[in-house]
Amino acid sequence: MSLAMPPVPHKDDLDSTWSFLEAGIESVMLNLDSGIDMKTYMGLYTAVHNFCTSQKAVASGQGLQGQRGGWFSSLHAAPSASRFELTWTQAHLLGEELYKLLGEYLSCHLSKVFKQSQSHTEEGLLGFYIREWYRYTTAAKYVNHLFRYLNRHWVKREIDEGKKNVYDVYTLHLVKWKGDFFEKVHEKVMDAVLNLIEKQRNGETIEQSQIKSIVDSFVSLGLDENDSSKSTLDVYRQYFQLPFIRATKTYYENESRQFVAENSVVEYMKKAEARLEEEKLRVGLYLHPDVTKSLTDTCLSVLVTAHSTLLRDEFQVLLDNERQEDLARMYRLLSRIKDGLDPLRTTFENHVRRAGLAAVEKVAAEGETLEPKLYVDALLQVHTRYQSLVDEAFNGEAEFVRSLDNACREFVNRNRICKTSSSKSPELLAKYTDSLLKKGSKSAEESELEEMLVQIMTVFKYIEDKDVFQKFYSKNLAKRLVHVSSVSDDAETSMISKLKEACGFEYTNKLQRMFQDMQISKDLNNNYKVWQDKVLDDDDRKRMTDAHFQILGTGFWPLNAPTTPFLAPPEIVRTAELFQKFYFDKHSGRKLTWLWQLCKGEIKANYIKNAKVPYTFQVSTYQMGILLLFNEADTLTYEEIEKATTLATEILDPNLSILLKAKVLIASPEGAKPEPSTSFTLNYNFKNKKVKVNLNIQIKSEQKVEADDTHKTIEEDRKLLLQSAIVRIMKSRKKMKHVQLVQEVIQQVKSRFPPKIPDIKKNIEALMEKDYIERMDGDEISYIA
Amino acid sequence: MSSITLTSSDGVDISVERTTAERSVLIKNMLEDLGDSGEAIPIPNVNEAVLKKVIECDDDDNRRKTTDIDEWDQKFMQVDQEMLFEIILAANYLDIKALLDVGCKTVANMIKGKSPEEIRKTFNIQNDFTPEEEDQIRRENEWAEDR
Amino acid sequence: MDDNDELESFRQQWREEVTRRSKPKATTPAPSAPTPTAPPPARLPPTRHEASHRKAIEEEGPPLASFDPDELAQQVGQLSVEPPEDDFSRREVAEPTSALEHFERAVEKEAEGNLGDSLSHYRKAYRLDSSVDKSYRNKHYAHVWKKPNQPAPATPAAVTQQTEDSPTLPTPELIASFAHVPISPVEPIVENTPPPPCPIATVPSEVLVEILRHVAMDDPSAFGRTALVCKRMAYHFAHEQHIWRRICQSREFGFQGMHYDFACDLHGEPIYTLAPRYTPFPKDGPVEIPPPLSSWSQVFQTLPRIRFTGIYISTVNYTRAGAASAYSNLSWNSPIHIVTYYRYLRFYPDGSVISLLTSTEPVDVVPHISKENVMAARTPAHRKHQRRTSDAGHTLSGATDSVPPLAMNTLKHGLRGRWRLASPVDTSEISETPAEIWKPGSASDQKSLLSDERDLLIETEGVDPKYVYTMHLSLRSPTVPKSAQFGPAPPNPSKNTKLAWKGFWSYNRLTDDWGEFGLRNDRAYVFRRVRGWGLD
Repeated sequence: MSLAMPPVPHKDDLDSTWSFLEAGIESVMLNLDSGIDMKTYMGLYTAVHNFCTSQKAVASGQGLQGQRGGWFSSLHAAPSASRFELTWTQAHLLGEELYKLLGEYLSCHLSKVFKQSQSHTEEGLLGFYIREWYRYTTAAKYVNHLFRYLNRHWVKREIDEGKKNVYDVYTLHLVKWKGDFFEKVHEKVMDAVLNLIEKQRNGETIEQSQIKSIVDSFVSLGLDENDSSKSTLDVYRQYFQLPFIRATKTYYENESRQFVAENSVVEYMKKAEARLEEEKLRVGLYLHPDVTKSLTDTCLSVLVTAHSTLLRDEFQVLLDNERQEDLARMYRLLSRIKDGLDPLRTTFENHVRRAGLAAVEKVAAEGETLEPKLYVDALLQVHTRYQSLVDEAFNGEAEFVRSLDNACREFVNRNRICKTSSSKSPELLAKYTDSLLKKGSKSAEESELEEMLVQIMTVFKYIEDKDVFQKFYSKNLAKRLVHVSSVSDDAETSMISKLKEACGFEYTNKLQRMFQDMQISKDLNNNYKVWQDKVLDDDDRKRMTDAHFQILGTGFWPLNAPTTPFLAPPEIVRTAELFQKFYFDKHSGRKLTWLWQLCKGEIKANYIKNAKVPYTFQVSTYQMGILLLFNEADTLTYEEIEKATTLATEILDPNLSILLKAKVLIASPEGAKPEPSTSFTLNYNFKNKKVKVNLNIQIKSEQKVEADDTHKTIEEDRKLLLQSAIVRIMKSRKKMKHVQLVQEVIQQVKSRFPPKIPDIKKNIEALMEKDYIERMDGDEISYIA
Repeated sequence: MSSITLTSSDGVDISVERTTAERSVLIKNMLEDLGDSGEAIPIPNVNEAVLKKVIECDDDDNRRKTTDIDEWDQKFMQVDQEMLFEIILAANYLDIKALLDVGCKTVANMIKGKSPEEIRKTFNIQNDFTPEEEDQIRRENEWAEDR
Repeated sequence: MDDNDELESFRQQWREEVTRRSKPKATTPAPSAPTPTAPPPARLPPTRHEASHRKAIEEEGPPLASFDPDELAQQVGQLSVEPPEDDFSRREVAEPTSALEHFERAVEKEAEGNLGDSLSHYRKAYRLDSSVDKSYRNKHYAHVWKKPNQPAPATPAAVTQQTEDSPTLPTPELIASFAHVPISPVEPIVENTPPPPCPIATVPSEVLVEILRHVAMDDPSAFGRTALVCKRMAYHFAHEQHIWRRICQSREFGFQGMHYDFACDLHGEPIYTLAPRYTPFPKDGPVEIPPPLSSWSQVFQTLPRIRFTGIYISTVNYTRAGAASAYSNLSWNSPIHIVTYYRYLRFYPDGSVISLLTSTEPVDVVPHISKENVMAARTPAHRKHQRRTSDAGHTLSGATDSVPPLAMNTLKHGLRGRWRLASPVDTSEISETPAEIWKPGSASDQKSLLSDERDLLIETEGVDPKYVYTMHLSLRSPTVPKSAQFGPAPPNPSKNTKLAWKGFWSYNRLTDDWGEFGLRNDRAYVFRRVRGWGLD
C-alpha cells in the first residue's frame, strides 16, 4: 500500500477499536481548531463501519464468532424467546458497547468541564458555558457524522423497536450535556443571567448576546421523550422561563410599589406603559418568543392589575379636567387586563349624563321663548365632545360607545325642558329642522346645511318619541310645500332619506306622498292651462283670475278643513268653479274641499293716487275677501263685512287688525278695535317703502292652537297605534296572559314612542268594551273573531 | 463543476465530479466538515475495480428518475455475482442509498419466483437444515404460501 | 376424524347414495342451476339466508353427502415439494395404469373438484385392487403416522452437528436458535478445490434484511420460500417484524387494499369521496398491533384479508337422473348424471371484482379471467374485429389475442361488480355511500348481516341490466385435519382463504323487488393462487 493509512484497528477487537476511536473523538472534542485530516476522518468512520459489519457475515466455521453474530432481535415476536435472551444480550453488547463507551466518554469529558466551570462566576461563568457549549456541539456534529453507520443501523433499529434511552449520536451528546453538566450548573448560570437582566432594567448596558446564546442552548436541550427527532421547549421553560418570570415579578413589584408612593398616578401610568413596551422589546432582543405571553401577563398583573383601583380612582378627576391624553393612557393600560374597563364605563356614563343635563339647564333659563336652535346646539355640543373623547381616548370601543348612547338618550329625553312633557325634545328638534329647511334661514351654504341635517339625525337617534317628531315635521313640511317655501328640493330629499334610513319606509311614507302630490299638481295646472285655451274665449279669459291650484290628498296631508265659514269673493268663486269643472271632468266622484285658510293671492291697489307704480298686496284669501268688498264702497261697517264674508269673529278680527295696523284701512272712530259698530274706510293715502306689501302674516293665536292640535292628534294617534297593535297581536295569538300582551305591545311600538303601561291597559279595556277581546279566567285575554 | 480525487484501497487515484461524489453521504459529510482541501480522499474499504463501477453508476444517476429497476439498471447490474455483492457492500459503506436500493433489488429479483433449492443453487448456499427442521419450518410457514 | 376414515366414509356414503338413487322411485327431480326459490314475501331481502343455516355444519367439517374438495387438495399440496405454482397450467400427464395410479388420479381430480372424472378413476382403481386405499395410505401418509412414535431418520448429508436423538424443539425456539448461524457456502464439488463463490455469505445482516424486504414487498410468498433456504433466512423470516408491518400496510398484499366501504361502482368506476376511507394500518401515522396478537406476521395471517394473487373457486356437484348410456357398464348400473359447475371470483385491489358462473373447468378458463378479457369477450365479434384493425395494440384486443375460444366464450358470462368487507368500525353514524344498492330492511338488519368482521359483501351486475346481484359471504379458514394436529409441528396453513356462503339475492332495479337464490348445492369458495396475478 503506497498510502500511509492510519492504523485502522482490527474490526473484531472492541478494545483496540474503541481506543482508536476514543483518541479520534478526543482530538475532535478538544483540538478541532487545529483541524482534523481526511485520513483520520475516514479512518474513524471506517473503524465504526468495520466494527458494526464484522463477524455477522464472515465467520463461517468459526463457531465462537458465529455466536457473536447478528444483534437483531424481535422480542415480542416469539413469546418463548425469553430463554434465548441471554444469547441476545451478548449479541447486543457489541452495538451497545460502542454506544455505551461513547456515552461514558462524554460523561467523563463533561465532568472535567464541570470542574473547570467551578472557578468561574457571574459573567465569567456565562462566557465559559457558552464557549464550552459551542465547542461541544460543533464536535457533536462531527462525531455524529463519524458514527453515522451506527446511527443508520443499530440506533435506528433500537428506536424502531421502541427502546427508550437510545438516541442518535448527536442527540446523545445533548442528553449527556443536559445530564452531566447542565443539571449541575443551571442554577448558577441562571443567577448570572438574571443579574445581567436586572442590570439592564436598571439602565446599565449589558452584553445581550450572552443571554441569547444561553437561551439558544437551553432550547436545544429540550428533547421529546417520545420522539428524539423532535424538540420541545420543556427544558427552556423549566430552567429559564420560570426563574426569569419569578425575577421579573419581584423586580416590578418592588419598583411599582416605590414609584406609586413617590409619584402621581399620571406619572405612574407613563412609567408602566414604558416598562411594558420595554419588556416587549426584550423578547425580540434575546428571549425565545415562547416567553411573550407569560412575560406580558406577569408584567400586566404586577404593573396594572395590582394598581387598578388606584388608576380607576383617578378616572373621574381626569374626566373633569378633560385630560384626554391621560385618559387614553389609562384606557390602554386597563383594556389589557381582564374586566379592567368595566367600572370606568358607569363612571363615564354618569359623567356624560350630568354634562348633558347641565347644558340643558343653562339654556332652559331662556324660558318659554327658547330658541329651538339653542336647545339642539346644547345637546349636540355635549354629544360631540364625548363622542370625540370615545373615539380618540377610548379607541372607539363599542362598550364605551354604548355608555355614551345611554347617557345621551337619558339627557335628551329627560331634562329640564322636557319636565312638562317628554315630547318637548322632538317638537323643538322638528322646529329647528323646519327653520333650517325654510327659505330665508341663514345657513346659505348647501354643504353646511347637509352637515346640520346630519347633526339633527344624531339627536333624532336618541329621541324616544319619534312619532312626535314625525307629526311636527310633517306639519311643517306641508306648510313649506303649500307655501312653496322650501329652501331646496335636494335638502328636503336628503332629510327624508335620512329619516327613512333611521326609521324605515313606513315612517316617511306620507312625507313622500306629499311630494308626489306637489308634482301631480304641477302637471295638473299645465293641463288646466291647455284646457282653458280650448274652452274659453278672450272675454271669458279676461274675467278669470290667474290662479295656481294644489290638489292635496286628504289622507297624506296633516291639514284640516277651515274652521270658519267663508263666502269667497265672486272673482275667486268664478275661477274656482271653472277649475272644479275641469277637475271633475277628469276625476268624477272625487270631492274637493277648499282650504281657504292656506290660500293666498296678490291684489293690486290701483286706487292709491300718490303711487307711480300701483302697490301690490300679498294677502290671504280671507283678507282678499275683505279688501275686495271695498271695490264697491270706500267705507264699510264691521257688521257689513262680517255679513259679506261670513267669517267667524276669531278669524275676522285679527285680519282686520292686520289691515288696520298696515294702514290699508282706517278705523273709525279712530283707534277703535275691530268689533261691532266699528266702521272701516279705505286709505287712499297708503304709503309703503316697498311696492309689494306682505299682509299675509301668521296670527299668533293660530300658531298656538296649531301646536296644541298637533299634540292632541299625537295622543289620538298613539291610542290608535296601541289598539291596532293589541288587535294584531291577539289576532295571531288568540289567547294570551295580560302581562304577556303588555310586553308584546311595548315591543311592537317602542320604535315609535315609549308607551306607558297604564295607557296600554286603558286601551285594552277600550277594546274589551268594543268586543274585540274579552277577559277569561286567570288573567287571560282572548280574541273574539 | 469541480472535481475531486478518491484513492481506492489498493492505492489508485480516481478523479470524479464533486456532485457525483457527494451522492455518498459519507463523502458529502466529510467535505462539509473538513472542507475541500484538494487532497485525495482515501477510501480504505473499496478497491479500484469496485470504486470505478460505483462511480460509473453514480455518473449516470441523473438518467434515472425512479428507484425501480429499469432497463439501465438491469444492464448495469449484469455483472458477476461477486461484483454485485461488492457493489452492494461499497454502497452500504459509502452510504449511497439509491445504489444500495438498486443492488438489493437486483438480488431480490434473483430470489423471486425460485424454489428454496433453486435459491440455494443460485447463491451457492449450503442447506444447513436437518430434514426434521426443514419439515418443521415448512409446516410453520405454510401460511405464507397463501394458497 | 382420520383422513382415511374420511375417505372411507365418503365411499361408503357414495355407494349408499348411488344405490338409493338407482331405484326408480327414489329418483328426485333434478334441481336446475341456481334459480330463485320461492320469492320472499317482503320486497327487501331477508336478513337471514338459507345458506347461513349451514354455517355450523361447514365449520365443523365437510358434510357426508359430498366432501370438501379443498381439504384433499390441501393435503395433496402439502405433499408437493415443488415451489407452489398454480394448478391451472395443463401438464402432460401419462394415463394411469395401476390401481394405485388410478387412485392417485382420482384423488387429484377430487381436489380439482372434478367429481365425475374422480369417480371413474376410483371405480377403475377398486376394480383393479380392492385394497388400493391401503396402499395409497401407506405410500403417502406413512410419515404422518409414524412421526409421533419414532424420530425421523437422520439425514447423513446434513452438515449440522445435530444428533439424531436431539429433542425436537418447539418451532419458535428452533428458529430462535438460528439467530447466530451464518450462511454457509456449499462445499467444494471436488474435494480440496476451492469452493464455489458464495458472496451472499459476506453481506452484513442489515443488508441481507434489506434484500429480503425487497423480496417480501414484491411477493410475500417468495419471502416465505426464503425461510426454507437456510437457517439464517428462516430466522429473518420470523423476526423481521418491520417487514411484516410494511406488508400489512401495503396495498398489493396488505390491508391498505382492503375496502370497508365500496370503493367503486358496479362497473369498476371509482367512487370519489372527500371523507377519508378507513384503513386499519395507515401508512402515515403510528400503527399498533391489535391485541391479542403479538406480531405483525400474525396480523398478516389472522385478520380478514382478500387475496388478489389468485382465484376463488366454488365447485358445485349434484346428481341428476338420466337415461342409461351405452358405456355405463357399472355393476350397480345407475343411469344418473353428475353435474359439475363452478363459481369463480377474482378480486381487485381497487374494490372491483369479476364473478363468473360456468361449467368450464378451472384449467380452461381461470388463467384468462380478468376484467379486460371479460369486457373483450362481451364485445360483439364484429366490433372487436373493427377495433383490432383500427386500433392496433389496444389493450382490449391485445388481451384477447392469446385467449383460447373456449375461455373467451365462457368469459362472456363474466359479471363485473364490487366488493367490501364488513367495516370493523361502526359506520351506522356515517351516511351510506349514495351509490350503494344494498339496502336491507333497516340499519339494524345490516348490522346483524355485517356484524362479523369476516363478512364480505359483493354486488355484481345481473344477467339483465335491470338486476343487481348481492352476494353475502364470510371468510373462513380451512380446517386442519385432526390427525395432523398432533406431532411436533402442526401445519399452519393460510387463514381466511375460504368464502362461506351467507346469502345470495337478486335485486330488480325496476320493480324494487328482492329475489333470493337457493344455494342448496353451492359450496364454499376456495382460494387458489394463479401465477402472475396480483404481482406487478
